[in-house]
Amino acid sequence: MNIPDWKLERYLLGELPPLEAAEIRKRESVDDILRLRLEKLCQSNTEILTQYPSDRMIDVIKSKVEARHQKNSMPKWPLVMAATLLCVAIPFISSPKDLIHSLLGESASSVEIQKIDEDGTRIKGMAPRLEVWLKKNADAEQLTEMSEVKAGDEIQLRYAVPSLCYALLVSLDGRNIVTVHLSKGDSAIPIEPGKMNTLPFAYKLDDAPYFEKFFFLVSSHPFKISEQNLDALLKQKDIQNISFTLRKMVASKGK
Amino acid sequence: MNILAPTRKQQIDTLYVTYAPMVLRRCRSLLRDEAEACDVMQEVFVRILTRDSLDLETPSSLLWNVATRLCLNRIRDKARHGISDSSEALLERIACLENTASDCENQNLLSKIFSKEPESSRTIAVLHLIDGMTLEETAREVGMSVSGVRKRLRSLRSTFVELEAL
Repeated sequence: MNIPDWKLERYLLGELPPLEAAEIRKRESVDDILRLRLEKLCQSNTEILTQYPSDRMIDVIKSKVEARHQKNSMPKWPLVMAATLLCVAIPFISSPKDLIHSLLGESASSVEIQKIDEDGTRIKGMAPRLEVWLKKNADAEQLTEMSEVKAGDEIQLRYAVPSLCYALLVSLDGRNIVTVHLSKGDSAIPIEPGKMNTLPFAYKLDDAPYFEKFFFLVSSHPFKISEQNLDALLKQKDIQNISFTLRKMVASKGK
Repeated sequence: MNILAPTRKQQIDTLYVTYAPMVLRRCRSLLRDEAEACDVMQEVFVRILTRDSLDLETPSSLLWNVATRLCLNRIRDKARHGISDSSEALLERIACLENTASDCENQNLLSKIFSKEPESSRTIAVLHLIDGMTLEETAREVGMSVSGVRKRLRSLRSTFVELEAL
């Protein structure tokens, strides 16, 4: 069966479910045409980024975003009047995220949102979080989704949960190898809420190609993992999955 | 330990370098015009950057769908303004892009329904009939239930049957 282009794109980006990625990887080793298609996509990536380099294109895109903002901020008096009336009547209609965004003028995602539970308990952060850091001698750089890394880089993982729950931390690489970073045997471990936890050891990347994808799996009840059931776990509705993908840079030949 | 948190600029740069090639290829395949494809690619990133957060769960899926929708809008607008020969001809071209098993059937179906159905149904049709996504995959992409997607496709097909009867 012919694998559609969109699926190959996601395979190279490390955004396919593990089972589907494993199937493609298996076929890649025996299917010359598939291998050629993947090579062509990688080649096309390089060509496009040479033709439309990020520094130039991001400037163009940013100027369009600014133009869009200016256009949207043009006063529309009847609307302004109506909005003013609404604001007086319902002063806190904005979501906390919108409010923070408008106050700080930056992405609210980088801001810790605090929420007060019904019983008055302060919950720090509204969702489980996974942070991926690149160790650099005495420093560490926080990586963003799809950051580029290479074999030998040391990765440090940090995580936090908003309420008492069970969690597992695993990674999947471009060779379809699953590595468990946080567990008790094959079981999820209970995590205390509120504080940011750091894994006691850094994780050195091997030379697996394409990507390294981390899964922080969280649930209110205990659960187990095996290499075979990762895909099934990811589909379970009562297990929340926070994933983070790193792109693997290919070491140039001869180095 | 000196901690260097990623800035929004770094996030934008990473997003562009990672996904721009995929987005441009998508636009090229639907529009078949380099200048237009590049223009729509920029618009896709403008849409993404005007969001509150760049912490996207599945960026490739979101960007693919935004690109698809904007390309379809571009094709529709061109047809409306009489820039192209006809929307049917354009759709015919789109329908011929992928070597699916039932190209002719899909090509005809899409040609007939393209100008009559809502935007979301058109996107569903392209993802399912042209990109070859399963019903489950299409549903996941557009954030609908499988039965919802099936219903939309059924509605599209009945529109087609009605059009055929005219």
